[in-house]
Amino acid sequence: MKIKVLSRNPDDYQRETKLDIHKVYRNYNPALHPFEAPREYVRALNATKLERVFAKPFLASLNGHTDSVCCMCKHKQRLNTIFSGSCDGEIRQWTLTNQRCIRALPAHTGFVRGITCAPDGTTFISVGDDNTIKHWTTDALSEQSHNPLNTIVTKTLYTGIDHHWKEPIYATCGQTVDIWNDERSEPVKVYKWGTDSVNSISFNPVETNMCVSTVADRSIVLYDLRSSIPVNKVILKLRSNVVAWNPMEAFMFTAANEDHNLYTFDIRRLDFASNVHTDHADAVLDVDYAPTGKEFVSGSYDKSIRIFPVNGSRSREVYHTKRMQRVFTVKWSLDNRYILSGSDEMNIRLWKARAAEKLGRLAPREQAAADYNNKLKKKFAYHPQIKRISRHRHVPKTIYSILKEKRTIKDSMRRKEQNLRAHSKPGTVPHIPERAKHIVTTAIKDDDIDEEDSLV
Amino acid sequence: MTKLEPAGKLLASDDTDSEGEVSDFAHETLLKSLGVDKDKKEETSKQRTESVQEVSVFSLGQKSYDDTHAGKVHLHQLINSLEGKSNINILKKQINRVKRPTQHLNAPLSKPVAERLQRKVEYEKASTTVSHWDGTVQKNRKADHLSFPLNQKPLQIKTVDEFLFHKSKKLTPLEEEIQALMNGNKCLERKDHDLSVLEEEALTTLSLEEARARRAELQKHRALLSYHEAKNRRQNKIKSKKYHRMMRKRKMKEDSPKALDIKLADQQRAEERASLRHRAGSKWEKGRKLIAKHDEKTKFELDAQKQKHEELMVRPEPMGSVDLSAETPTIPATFGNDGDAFDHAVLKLPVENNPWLSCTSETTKNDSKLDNTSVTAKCDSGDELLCDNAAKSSSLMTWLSQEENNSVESMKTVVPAIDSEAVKKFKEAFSKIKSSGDGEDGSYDFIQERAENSEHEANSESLKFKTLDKGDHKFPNLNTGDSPEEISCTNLKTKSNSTGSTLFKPEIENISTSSDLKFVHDDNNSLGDEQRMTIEQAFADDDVLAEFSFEKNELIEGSKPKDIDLSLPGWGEWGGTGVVPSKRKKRKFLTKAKPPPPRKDVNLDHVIITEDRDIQIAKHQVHDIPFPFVNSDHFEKTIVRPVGSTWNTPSTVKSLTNPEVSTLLGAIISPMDSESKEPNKTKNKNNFKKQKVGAHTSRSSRKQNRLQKLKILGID
Repeated sequence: MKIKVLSRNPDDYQRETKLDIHKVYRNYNPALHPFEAPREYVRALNATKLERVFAKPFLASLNGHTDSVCCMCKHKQRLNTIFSGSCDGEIRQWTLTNQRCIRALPAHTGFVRGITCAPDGTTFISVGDDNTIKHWTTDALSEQSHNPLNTIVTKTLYTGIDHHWKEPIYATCGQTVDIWNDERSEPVKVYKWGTDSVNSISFNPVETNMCVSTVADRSIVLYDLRSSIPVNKVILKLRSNVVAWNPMEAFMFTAANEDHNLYTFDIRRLDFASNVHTDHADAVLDVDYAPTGKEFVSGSYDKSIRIFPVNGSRSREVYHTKRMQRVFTVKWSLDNRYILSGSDEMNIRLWKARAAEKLGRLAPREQAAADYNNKLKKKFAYHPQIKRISRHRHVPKTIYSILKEKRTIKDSMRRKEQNLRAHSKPGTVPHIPERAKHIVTTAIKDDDIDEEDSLV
Repeated sequence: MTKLEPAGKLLASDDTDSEGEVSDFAHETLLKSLGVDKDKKEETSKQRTESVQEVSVFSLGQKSYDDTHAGKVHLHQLINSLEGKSNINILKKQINRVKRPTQHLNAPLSKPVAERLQRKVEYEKASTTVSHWDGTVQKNRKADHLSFPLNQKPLQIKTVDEFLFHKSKKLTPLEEEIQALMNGNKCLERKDHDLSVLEEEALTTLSLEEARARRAELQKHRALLSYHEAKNRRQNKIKSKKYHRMMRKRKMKEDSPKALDIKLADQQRAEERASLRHRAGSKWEKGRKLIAKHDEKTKFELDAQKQKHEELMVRPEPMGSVDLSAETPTIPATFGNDGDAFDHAVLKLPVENNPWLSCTSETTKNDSKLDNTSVTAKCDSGDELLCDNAAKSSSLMTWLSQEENNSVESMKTVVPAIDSEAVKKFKEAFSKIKSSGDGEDGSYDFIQERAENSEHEANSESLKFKTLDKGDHKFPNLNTGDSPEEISCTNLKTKSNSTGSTLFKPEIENISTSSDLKFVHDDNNSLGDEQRMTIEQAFADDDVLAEFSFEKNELIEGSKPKDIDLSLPGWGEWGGTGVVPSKRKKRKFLTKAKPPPPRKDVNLDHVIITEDRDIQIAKHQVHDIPFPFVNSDHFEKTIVRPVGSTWNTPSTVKSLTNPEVSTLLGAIISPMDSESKEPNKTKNKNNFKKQKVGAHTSRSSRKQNRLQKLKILGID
């Protein structure tokens, strides 16, 4: 009599070591796995909820400054080093790995107006209210670490500084825009357009010969180092504070404006903002791009930091704490993971760029799960519940009420305009898109160029 | 003040002063004898005599103020001095240079203007420079997946072969030999090619003769093709019917070589032709028509012939020979010489044959037979005038025509020039009516009356007459005074806003151009009834109402909650297959469904109100199609397709869940480098131009954005 016995090869079902994961046999027959969409919806909902649960963006506060932090600078070669300048003229160098200040320099008397790092990362340059430009070494352990490498006394006050991304050139701004060589104590080139003082200057990281400055007369001016005069300017309705270039797109920059908005421009088309980013409740004081060029962070006078996608007009994230005051400066770390903010109450704060992201290296399965969850969130992003949960943020009451008021004002203005349009002759009240509404004029009109082209 | 007092003049004046009596003539002779020319004297007089430090600008080159004529030196005066000089050409050039109008440099532009111009140039330059990045930027924007830092060298592990071949160690003699063999071998398989070198060579090499032959063959083929093409084109252009008939026959012969078939077909055709008397052209018909007025029998013959013609005119079934159907002559209808030309039976014939040809289509068919008629009759059942006497009328004939100027005047109408033939027909028709009708005074009066009766102002461009016909070619209804004839002016511009006038508006123009008669032929029933009948016949099979109620019932049944039967056959009972659970058990395990709440559409037969919407679920559902999608199908597809590992293989899951942006932990992401710049496919300037088109740009970029998003979501 033959007796049938179940016999299996242990290799098929046993792990080699106990650290191995269990082998899973799958049958992909769709009949066995019904309700795909509902099940994935539930997973997406859970992922969204968990994301909100794990959204703890605040990492650390770097304290040590004895006055409000007014400027910051990333080291261009080292991820863990930043420099910060405060309103009492002190510059501090920080190591982010252990969140320590490794150097405090009494650099200037009065405000430190700007700090910039050379592309090779060996020196950084600062300007202050005491009419000096000072070059410093980034090496905190060197003998010269407490004295400037070079000090240039200038005739006028400088309000900003930025270093060229490749060459030993830097630009300062004040009454004029001056281009300096690292070795010289006189500016190599001086740009002046109008009499108003220039607030900030920023070099293009891609087309490195271009830079943009914001001027007190509400304009943003474009320079090309190869030309002897400023190239073009656009005047907005209110003043822009800072401009940041997109590090991945040579012709895009974003300006932080006093009218609570940020404007993204294509330099080839300055009379029309390619995007208007709204959400702040007060003047935007600083902006910095993520190194991927997909997002940027902005700090505002409304005591909050917001993260905007480049092609979106609404922010995806808002960071705030009870203790954080007016945010004067923000930076996005060069590995696209952290955000730094320097604010009025003397602290520098370190945030995660993605609030719910797990820090550190992920195990492959963790990574896969995170990817899957992200995909699900994106897939079901339009479903009302998921949208509601993922968009929900707590904001301070002041911001909340201001935003509410702004919304009311905007609605009423829109209604008024609609009424006006409805009761006037067709065509007399034109539709002006939001992107063109805030722009007053440009120095070079598009029509001029078109004419030129046609002539040629 | 003048420092350049002309010396000659002084001298001359001195002369006159000292020797006043000496006559001018004597003086001149004296000068001549001295060899002094008067002009020369002038010439010399312009020289400065004193060297003074300050020379007045005003006196430079100025001639003496009192001697205007003498002061100017002309060219001809200078020519004398050229005598004996050899090279005049140089002088010529110099003179030309002097004579040329002076070229001034323009005044420099003011600083702001100059800067503006410079700025414009610089800005354009800058724009074009950054436009070089367009390709790269667009590529990165559209990319499904970007891994930062960009330009990472992909991690590669060398294969054993690669490793062995590239090792720098000295090979053994045997290895060297093998490698030499392998490297130089043409038979070796290549990675990037399908074929080896040898195979490829074998394929590509052809001898000279072979190549030539092949080329010649190809040429011949091409020539033949073009020749055929030309021939076909030429043949198509030939208009001769006979030629084409012959060609067709020839082709038939080629297709079916049976001579018998062709002969048979020919014979059949000939018979057909012989028996069929041509309606319009035949002599026989012309002759008969004259007699037909008086002779009943001839008329009958004519009618029979027409009937036969109509039968033949009906398009045969598709199985019939195509040639024959093509050959059947189309006869242009010429009727109206006598008012009763329309044979009831003849006209009805196609209707009987083809149920689809209802009254409207019949009309159009008749229209198509009529030359010049482009008007389509409207057998609108809603037309009040038609409906009025619908019961009484046995058949309707609507003649549409346009009146002559005089008649128009009588009707206070304005009508453009009209074909006289049509008028003739019209008159004839009316004379018929007039002759048969008692109470009517005249056609025009009658029309007028009718027009007034129907509260239309007689301001018509076309008239529609509906006469009643019971099939005996008479108009008996006209005789009876009580039933008014259906002669209506439908296409009238009304004083009051009547419905009838607007119905035919678009036809008016057509009518004004066409001038022939048109008529509507109808059955005993009213037009509306007739149409309904035909529709019912046509849709006899599909009963819409019943279908709807059936559908509704099905829905109701489907939405009813079902009883739940939890009984398991064979459970707790003895028995094998085919065991029937006891009734008790059935009763015990059957949970009866509660009756559903009454439907909202219980009392509404013609409505289905779906009550499927569940508020609890609706909370979770998307109401509007989100931005990148254009239709709900697309969106639903993205939702329905699962991405999880429960439904997909690991590799699929990985590709589906690949994040848009991935970064390397702890790596600095430096800005875009000029090395990673992609060459632009399009011209930069054009690209830039495109960018400049305002609203268009935003729209197109939005569209691009949408496409991009769709792409990300995995929809093509």
